Amino acid sequence: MAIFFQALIDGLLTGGIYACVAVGLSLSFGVMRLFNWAQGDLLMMALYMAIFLIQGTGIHPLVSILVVGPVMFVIGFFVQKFLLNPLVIRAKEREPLSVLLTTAGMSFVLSNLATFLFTSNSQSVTTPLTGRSINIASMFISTPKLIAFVVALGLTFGIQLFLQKAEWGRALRATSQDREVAQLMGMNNKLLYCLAQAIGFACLGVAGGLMSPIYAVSPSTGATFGFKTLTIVVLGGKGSVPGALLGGIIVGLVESFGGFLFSSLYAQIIVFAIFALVLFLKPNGLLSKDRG
Amino acid sequence: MKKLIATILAIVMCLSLVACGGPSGEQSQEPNQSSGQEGGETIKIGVLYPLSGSTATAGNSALWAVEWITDYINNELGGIQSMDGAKIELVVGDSKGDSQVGLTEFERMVNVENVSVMFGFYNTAVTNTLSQYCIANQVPAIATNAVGDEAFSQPNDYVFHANGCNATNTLFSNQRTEWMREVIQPMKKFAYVYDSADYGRESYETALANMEENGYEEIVGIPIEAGSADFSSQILQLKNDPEIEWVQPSMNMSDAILFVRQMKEYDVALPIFGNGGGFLQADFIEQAGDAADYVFSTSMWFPSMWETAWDTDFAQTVMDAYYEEFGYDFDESASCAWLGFWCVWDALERAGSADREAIAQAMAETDISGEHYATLLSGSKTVKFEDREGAAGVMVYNQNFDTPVPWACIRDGEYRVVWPEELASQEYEFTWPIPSWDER
Amino acid sequence: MSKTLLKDKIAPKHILVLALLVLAFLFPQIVTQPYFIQIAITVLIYCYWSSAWNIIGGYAGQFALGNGVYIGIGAYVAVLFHQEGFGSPWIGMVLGGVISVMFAFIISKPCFKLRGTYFSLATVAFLHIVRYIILGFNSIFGMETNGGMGIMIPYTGRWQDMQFGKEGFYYVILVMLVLILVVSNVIRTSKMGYYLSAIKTNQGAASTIGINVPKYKMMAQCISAFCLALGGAVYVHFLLNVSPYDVFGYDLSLEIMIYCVIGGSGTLWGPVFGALVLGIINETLRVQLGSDIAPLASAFYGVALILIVRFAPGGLYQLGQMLINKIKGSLGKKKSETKEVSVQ
Repeated sequence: MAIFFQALIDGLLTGGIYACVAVGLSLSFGVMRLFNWAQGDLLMMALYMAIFLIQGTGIHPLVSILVVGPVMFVIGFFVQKFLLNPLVIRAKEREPLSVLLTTAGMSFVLSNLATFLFTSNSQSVTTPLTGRSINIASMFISTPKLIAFVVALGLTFGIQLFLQKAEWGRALRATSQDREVAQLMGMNNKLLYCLAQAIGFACLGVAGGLMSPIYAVSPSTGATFGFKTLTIVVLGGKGSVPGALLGGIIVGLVESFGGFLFSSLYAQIIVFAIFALVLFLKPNGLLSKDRG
Repeated sequence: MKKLIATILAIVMCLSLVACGGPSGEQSQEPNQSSGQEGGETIKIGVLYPLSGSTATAGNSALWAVEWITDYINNELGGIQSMDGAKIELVVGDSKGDSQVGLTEFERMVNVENVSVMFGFYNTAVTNTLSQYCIANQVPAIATNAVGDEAFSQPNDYVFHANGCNATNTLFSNQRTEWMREVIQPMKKFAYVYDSADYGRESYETALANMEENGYEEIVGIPIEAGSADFSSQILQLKNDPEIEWVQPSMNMSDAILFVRQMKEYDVALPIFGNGGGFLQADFIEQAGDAADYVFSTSMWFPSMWETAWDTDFAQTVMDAYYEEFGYDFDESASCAWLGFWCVWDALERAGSADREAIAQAMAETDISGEHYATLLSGSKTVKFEDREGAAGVMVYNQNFDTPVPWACIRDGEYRVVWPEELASQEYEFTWPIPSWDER
Repeated sequence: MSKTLLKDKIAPKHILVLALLVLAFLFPQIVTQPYFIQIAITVLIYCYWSSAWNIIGGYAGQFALGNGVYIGIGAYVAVLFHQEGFGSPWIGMVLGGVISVMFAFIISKPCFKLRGTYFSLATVAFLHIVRYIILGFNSIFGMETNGGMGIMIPYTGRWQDMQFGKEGFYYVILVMLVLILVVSNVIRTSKMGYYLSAIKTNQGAASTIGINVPKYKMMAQCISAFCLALGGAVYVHFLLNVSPYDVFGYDLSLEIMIYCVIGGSGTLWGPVFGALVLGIINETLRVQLGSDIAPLASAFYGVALILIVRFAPGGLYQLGQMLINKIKGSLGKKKSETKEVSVQ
């Protein structure tokens, strides 16, 4: 029975990390109908940044968040401004193909650039948090994962608050619902899009810092997380921040229990199967009210 | 503006097409020379390894050994004596771990450069493809490093393997089991956590096949996907079953690091007998830190094995040179290449010509033992290519069967060989059982 | 009378195509160096696969990113069929095509209900599912597949075993390429092509004017799947090894799409052009600059893709046409037709 709870906790905590990665994609997709295929590779970039920063300066992983987060924010802002806005703003349809191709191209560029610069060997750091766990009633709670979960929770809560209460946040929601009307009402769509993407990138930066004590990074890390993230966003419903959290936790739990009961390969197949099911039955996410 | 950029792009594309005319212009119109070069002052050897991509570390390591030996042969030994001092010229290619790229490089080496021998390959997929093409084109080849059995499952006269394949390695792991049975009681059940993609799976299958013979009651197979972000559920499985006595993980380096770290996190002090590349690479100990202590690892080579060389000074010289280049110790990949390439030299000396058929014939007749360059930095003390049954009745051809796979224990950041005795480290006293995480 | 008609029928374009065809067939006779034939084979198979993808991705405008899965299915079925002793891999190849079509039918039916990104995602999801299944099991339906280690095909050199030698493979794949271009052209100039282009432009409107949208999308997908599978079967017999990383790779799926788009998707020659140019650049860069630079070259393709999507969505084909137009324009000739090639 204790093992059951252990699996539960692991799934939850890992889910929190996944959610942190997925929030950005959810925002991007929700506000701009911009599906960023390069999400996983951007996470890889953030992780490299965090790990090299810690390797070079020896700072605590949580401190690295304060550096990598803002850096990613700025990068996201300008990527949207120069690369993606021209495609989104001018397109006649809601979901231009050009965006898909551009972000797929970005993914290609990032993973190959990483291979060229850092070689395919994986990099990791040993931090004060690495390998530590808290022992409660014969269950082991991984310390770095717990911290990551708490921060991720806080982040999603904070962003949700921002979207509900803050002026900019509400503007983002308005523009996601109806682009033209929002523009008519005087909102600067271009700026809003840059903001949305920047927030998403910043979340990736935070995730990178949170993950640095736990995982090793290599150019193929992007692929590992990339598809998981897409699954989570579909599960949780695009644009829904609590949805991203829910989706992340579901995927985390399925992987944890599936891996424990059967094997991790089966778990992956189950995740994909769930993904396919949700796509067909409830494409707007589990929390939505419509029937796909 | 848009049109300008489009025009520039178009021009650039056209220019690059024109530039491509360059190498085509140099094409040699010579018809295939199936016999390789005739005598002359150099003998060309095609060396193909993954020099980029995920297995690049091992590939570059092996290449270093090949280049060092070539240098030694050409300068210290005065070239190939039986060919009037002909020098070896290496034609090096990068397979990137991909069959198709490897094949293209093969064509370049065999048909453009007219090499007399092919060497290396490393990755199983590349070895599979190239072994068949070497047979088809009648080019003698020595494949190095541990690979799957398939490439050697067909009788042929051209492709040879001096290092272990699964069929031979399992014979040794069966012997190892004897030793383990004396030390680790009761030896009824263990878990095999394997990377379902590569070598690990075959090992698992063979372990299953030999299960009864070795006296196990159950082997729990836990497949993982390479590059996983998390092993908690697998480790939970291990923790949940008190009958599991030890775990044998077979995975790549980043997975291995994560695995031992999480074993420590979850306070699972099961003995870890690491199988496979991940637990061997120098970076593993460094990055895993104290989570790697008391981990057992198996490999065809450990640095402390230089102590068993018949000329320890020579061995030390090579190891120092390697360390100077890479910053870590002479590793398994270099050792495999070392053994294999000296076999090539051995065959060349006996063949006395650059003719591929003669070399293939000489290779088949290889019989190395005692004080030979090949055995200096290898666990294999003899080399003979045989057609024989390996473990689980798998028939392999042109395979060397003296390919021991010793166990070593990681203590204080270094590998200490514990079995077999002939290769064991002098300095380390093996103790059992290993202490729990708290006690370390 | 007949002379004038004949002259009118044959445009310079046709002569160019004929000349290219002749050149292509004579290539191995002129360039006998197997190394270059090897490179040509690799380039040709990508031309073939990109053209096959073009049918669903370019003509029908359905971005099925996961269609690489059919390459893998074709490959495995052909090899397993032969290995288990059911018969020649030729039959296995056709069977592989048929099974791929079945798969395509079953999978695409629900997929087509989705739009845009969701559709692409769904196709990729299926690719991954099949890949994990192959990776995860040592045998399927009792046939040994060796999981991730793949299956080696022993060399026999007999054409019955689908092993032709370098020149042989070159011709086989060249013929396949010609065939798929013929098929593509037939589709393009037929009623089906007209419907597909309507569907691509505006699916809703096409449906309103009475086009049976689901039927034609499915037809395009099935044809694409069948052709991809055939290519997969032949290619693995060239490599003499079939492994899930080679044939079920997401990278492969992405590559054939990139070549098609960069070349000019939705056109007849675009995919061929794309695969040709990029394939040759690939090889040149690799040989001239060495392996360390290789990932940089791949990164360059990503950049090229981004640039082309932004500035020349019609791909190299469009660029080529613009160049030709400019040249013709500067030579003083008036061009009566202006082709507007659009990907959107």
